[in-house]
Amino acid sequence: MVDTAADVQQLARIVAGDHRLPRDARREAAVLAGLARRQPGRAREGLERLRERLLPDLVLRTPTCDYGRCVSVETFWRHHLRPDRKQYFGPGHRSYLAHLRSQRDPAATAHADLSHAPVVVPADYSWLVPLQQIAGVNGPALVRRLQLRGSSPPFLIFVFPQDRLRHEGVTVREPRGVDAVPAKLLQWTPGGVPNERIDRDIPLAALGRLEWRA
Amino acid sequence: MAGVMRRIPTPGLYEAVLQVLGGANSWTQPAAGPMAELVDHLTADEAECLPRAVADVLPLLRGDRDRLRFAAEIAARLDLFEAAESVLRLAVSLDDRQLLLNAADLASNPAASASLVQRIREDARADRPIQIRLDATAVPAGTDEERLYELCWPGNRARPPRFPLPPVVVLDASLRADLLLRFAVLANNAGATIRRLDREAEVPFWFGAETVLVCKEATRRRVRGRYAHFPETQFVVPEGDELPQDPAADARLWRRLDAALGRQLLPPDDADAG
Repeated sequence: MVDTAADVQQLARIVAGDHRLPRDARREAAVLAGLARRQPGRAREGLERLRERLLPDLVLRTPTCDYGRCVSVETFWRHHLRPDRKQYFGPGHRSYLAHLRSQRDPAATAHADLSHAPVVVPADYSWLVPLQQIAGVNGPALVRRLQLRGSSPPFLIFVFPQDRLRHEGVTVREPRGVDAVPAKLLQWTPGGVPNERIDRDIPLAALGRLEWRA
Repeated sequence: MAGVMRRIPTPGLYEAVLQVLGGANSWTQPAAGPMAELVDHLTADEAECLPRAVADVLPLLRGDRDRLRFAAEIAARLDLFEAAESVLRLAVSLDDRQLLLNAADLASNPAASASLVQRIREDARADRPIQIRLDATAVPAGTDEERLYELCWPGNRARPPRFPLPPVVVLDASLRADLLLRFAVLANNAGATIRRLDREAEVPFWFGAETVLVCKEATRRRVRGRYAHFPETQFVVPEGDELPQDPAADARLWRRLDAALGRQLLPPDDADAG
């Protein structure tokens, strides 16, 4: 079985090693790294609580460019597909992936199938990169550039134009070590993906279009 | 019901299942990750108990809806029909449609209890996606229903296929449980839909042009008796009547699968994990 104790310890070390976080928070993370060896689940919950405490103090800024969020078809199928469409595609993402691949314009099909939920991306997973940084980048190159551990092409890019983000009141900030906790980003390092940003919940109205990257 | 439910999982197995399913993240992890973690290093005895352990652990995740749904999805991907009752109870108590669909996916296996199927049918009387999942005699109307029908009941699939659907790998539950589960994870990761054929339950309407049955010789004869038209080339009886443990025999088995399906399942190392 996977050693999640090691995973949680690694997350705690990421937090403890982020010098842009307050010293007492880093110290608390170091204590949780110790707990992780014996009780990884409680240590992870402790890290999540620490994150929630720190978030209100982090500085948010108005976006100054278009942003993109890259998701695998599996994640799209699981979290972004309209329930009335998803019910026709069985218990795994493969049949939806095959369906998209058979379409002339997979991005347009996916957009038409997109969930109408008011929040398109919840805060914990609202990792964004400047769109220009991934313009024209194909799927395999995205895996390397965005450090998409365990995922493989094709991908869907959610494009959030700057004017829409501003209109919807979306703000962004530089991620901190605590942001690696919910998504369990064990490989995350500050600046590892240049200019990446994160936010609170991103509303559907901020979405401009989807792009397909095979 | 299958014999696997008679054994009781050990506390260590429960702990491991809770650790994997309770730590899985459906937003950032492909299902392949926790599925592999669930079955790696299982002994044959532990593997026999895994479906029950998953069924018993699911209610512990009810406070975290994303993780609970992810766990139910994983159960459905591996066709752990023993978890159907647990998923249904959670679907009803939480009024969760996604869980209800997964309960129907699991209950469609003929080894699931008939009373469970009846309860789902009664709860979802006019619900076409549920009806199609549960009833091979349902008559689909329209493209979405027809595609779902062929996904759930691949006995009708033809060559060339009408819809681009994953191939179906049916695994004989008489095969050694730990080897079967590890093979199931690899095959699912390689792009196949997995069904588990119980030793005693009736042979379902799964055997069409895009299905391959990996089974012992005795099961081959049983299915042959029920589906005489199912081509001999789509039965894959492993060397020695058991799933292989050495890489060379394993590679030969994958090649036979590809030949039987008439298409290449991606080798597990290169398969789309997300």
